[in-house]
Amino acid sequence: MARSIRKGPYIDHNVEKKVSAMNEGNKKSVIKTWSRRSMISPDFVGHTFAVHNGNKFIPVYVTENMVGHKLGEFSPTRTFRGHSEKKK
Amino acid sequence: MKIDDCFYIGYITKTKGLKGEVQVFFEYEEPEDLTLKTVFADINGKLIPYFISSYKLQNNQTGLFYFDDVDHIDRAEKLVRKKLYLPNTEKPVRDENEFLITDLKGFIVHDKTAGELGEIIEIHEYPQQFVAVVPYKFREIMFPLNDDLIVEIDEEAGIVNVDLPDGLIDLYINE
Repeated sequence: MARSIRKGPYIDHNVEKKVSAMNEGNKKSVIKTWSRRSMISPDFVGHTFAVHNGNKFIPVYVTENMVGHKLGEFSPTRTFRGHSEKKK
Repeated sequence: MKIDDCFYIGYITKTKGLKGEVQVFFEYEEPEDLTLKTVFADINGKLIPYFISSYKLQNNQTGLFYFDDVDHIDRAEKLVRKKLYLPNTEKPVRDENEFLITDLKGFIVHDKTAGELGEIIEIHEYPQQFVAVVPYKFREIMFPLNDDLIVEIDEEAGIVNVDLPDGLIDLYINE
């Protein structure tokens, strides 16, 4: 079910704070986060996030196409290694 | 036909329906570039030709195929898990000037601040981006291969100059 428009998008406070601080200082360093549920806002474009996938941090360079998606969408938690042999 | 004269394109994952249709998973990166008329299935070490009567490529590196003489699920089931090959003569030829991001594998990475990092050992395809893996100080560093981070690519010398954001290397070193 879609999130209510009244509430607005969910963005983790810490992530939001770090991004706005970096935008003000015109800095670009990696933002380490576990908040996979945070939505990518237009302010995030051009920043690199290290998004945890449960095992390690995956670097995600945010581009305009990613706006509106969640950070976790770009840090897959599973690796497809082919189909297993069929047991007989 | 010998296996040495062919290249691997993928394998048959499963049957679909009762009329002999099979699903093929392509390990070849760009299946849409292949000329698919006849494929060779590796059956007990021998390459057996199968003539394609119709096929439909799907988005997720798979395709649905009907082969001549395979008109029932019982026949199709015997092909499941079989590897598929095409003759080397049908291998798509790339333009000399064409350079794919996956060609960066084996290139040496130079960072603007950290200097030489090492050789790209793997390139992972993640949603919307490619990520390079470089061994550095007994750890694996990952960084996105993006136009904004790549400063220059020297194809002849096999060197990639990058400008990685602050803290990316430390993130993996101090993990």
